[in-house]
Amino acid sequence: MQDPRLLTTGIYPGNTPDPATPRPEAALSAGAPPIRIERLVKRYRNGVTAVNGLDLTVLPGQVFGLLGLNGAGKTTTLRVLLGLARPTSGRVTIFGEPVTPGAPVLRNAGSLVDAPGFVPHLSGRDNLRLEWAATGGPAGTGVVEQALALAALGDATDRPVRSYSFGMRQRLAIARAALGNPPLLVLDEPTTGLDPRQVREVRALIRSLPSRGTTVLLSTHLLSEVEQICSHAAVINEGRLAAAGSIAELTRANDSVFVEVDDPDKAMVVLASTPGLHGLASDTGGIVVGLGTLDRREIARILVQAGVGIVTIASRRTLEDAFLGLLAAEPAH
Amino acid sequence: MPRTGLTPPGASAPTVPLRHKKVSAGERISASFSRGLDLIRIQQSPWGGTPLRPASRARRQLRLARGETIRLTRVELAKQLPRPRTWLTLAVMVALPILITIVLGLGGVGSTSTQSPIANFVTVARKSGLDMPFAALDAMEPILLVAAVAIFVGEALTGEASWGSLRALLSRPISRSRLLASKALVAALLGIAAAVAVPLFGLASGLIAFGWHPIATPQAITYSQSEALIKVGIATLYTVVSMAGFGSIALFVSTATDSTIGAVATGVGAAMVSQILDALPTLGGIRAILPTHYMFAWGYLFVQPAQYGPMLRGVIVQLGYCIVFDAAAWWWFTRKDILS
Repeated sequence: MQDPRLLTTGIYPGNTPDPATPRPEAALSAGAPPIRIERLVKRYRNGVTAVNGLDLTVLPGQVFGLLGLNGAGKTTTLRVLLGLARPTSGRVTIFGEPVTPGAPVLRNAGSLVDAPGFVPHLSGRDNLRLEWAATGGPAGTGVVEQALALAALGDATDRPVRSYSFGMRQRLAIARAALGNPPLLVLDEPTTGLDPRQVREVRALIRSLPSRGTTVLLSTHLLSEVEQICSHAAVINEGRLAAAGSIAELTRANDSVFVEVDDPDKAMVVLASTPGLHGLASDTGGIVVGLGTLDRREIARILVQAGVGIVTIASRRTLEDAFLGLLAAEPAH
Repeated sequence: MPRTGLTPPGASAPTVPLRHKKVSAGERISASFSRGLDLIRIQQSPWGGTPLRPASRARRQLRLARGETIRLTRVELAKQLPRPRTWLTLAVMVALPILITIVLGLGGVGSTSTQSPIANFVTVARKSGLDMPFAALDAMEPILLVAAVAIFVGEALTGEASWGSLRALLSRPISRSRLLASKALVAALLGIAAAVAVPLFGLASGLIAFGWHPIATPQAITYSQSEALIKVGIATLYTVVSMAGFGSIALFVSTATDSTIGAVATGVGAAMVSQILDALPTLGGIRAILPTHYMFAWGYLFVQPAQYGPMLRGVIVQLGYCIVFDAAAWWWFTRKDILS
């Protein structure tokens, strides 16, 4: 059964584009994009080049997934974006303002990067209160209480954070990111440590954010999570942009089908001799068939007539298929 | 049609189900979590929720800059004062002078090695309670007091880094320079408290144990009580200054490492190495710039006539360490990548 809260906010599960999400052209004309990364290079002092010429733009209202293997440069990109690390070269802006350590524009960005860290001997309430005070947030606006409501710590709100479980700290960290309701949220693995119900609710929250004008940059290893909640995504490999676009574009949902068969070699031969297709490619456990004049039903009929057993035929690949396919196709640098 | 997902803050609708059925703790948390999500969905940004406009940007920046250091200092105090580490360290600074007084009162001084020929007050401490502040400083200043200052300063940054909260703080619109200044200021206040606690509680416990009498120095010179009190004040003030260099060294190390132990150990290690080098006459004039060379220069208050030159040189040396290491700490901290 669908979550009624999702219905009231007009956001539905799946990859249906949110009609409230501005078109890219409209967003650009309305003002500077929430995030623009141009030719970003970050080389650490130990000589490791974590990011190597990355270009990325996140437009207003997008829930943008940042994907990549471990060491691909995702966290470094987030660090530069939040002023925690200085770029070796390139330019990073938030709402058109260059990001430097402590830049005023960071007021517009709430973040959760790496493990949730808090002052352990202080309570969750005091941690949020002090962080809000440190940024000069106006007192008496109820911001901290609203954020604490999000953390849902119950009686633990006034207990020292050192007594919290990882999941409780993670919820408090999400609440901290939402302090002051910033128009941009940068979240690194936000559902780590949460129980399934909370994972679902946080995902629903993130999906709902564009409807109130919040843009989200989400870094995660959970491809299914990106598929569920992101409108757009980028794949980073070895510090470079491997691919970017809407989830539909990345999975080639509209122009290809993914076919899993019992005899891939025979299927490849049959489909290669079939006119009206735009291309064939072996993929993880199956074949991606570029749709031309034929549709999915006709492809199924041709394979069955040729004696090829079909295990799965989907209108598109999963994001996982697309992700692994992209990385496999990337030339080694 | 009920708007179950957009209940305003303070409305009771989401809590109704909880009143009508017995729910588990997990369900309560989840319900509260959902309610929190609802609140976040509808809340309006206290900042206005919109990207910065050029017209308001300058005003906002000006407002933020003004008083930011004071604000951050208040926040830092709120973090450091409730820490058990803070009170434990200060408790040691309070307890040891009292313990020294008790030991001296019970067992006498016995034979003591004379580390400083001018200022070994342990040998004469039982003659007057006013000798005890100097005896406590003599015993604690070289290592324990330096360690206390190194703990307060060295852990100010590394503590936050090890908790992971420094990363969160620095991803906010907070000036790194002002953050460093606020942390250094609070650590300095705690260091001053430690440096003052040693002679203060030495004095208090000494007066209780040995009474209010004129003091006699190890060189058998006698001073009246009022003269002694003034010298206690000057020695305390000078001790505070003589700790500043070690604090600056610890501050610099704390910006260059995430290891609390490393920062504290470097501060204490600097004092130990300095004392070892200071004992090598072959180093000649170089010893004069060692941070511990003038550590006991307050002992020159008790020669006839009192000499202030060594203390002045000590202040200049400490000032030099402060300038060099504080500048290095600032340069490094404002440029480093925050990785933890």
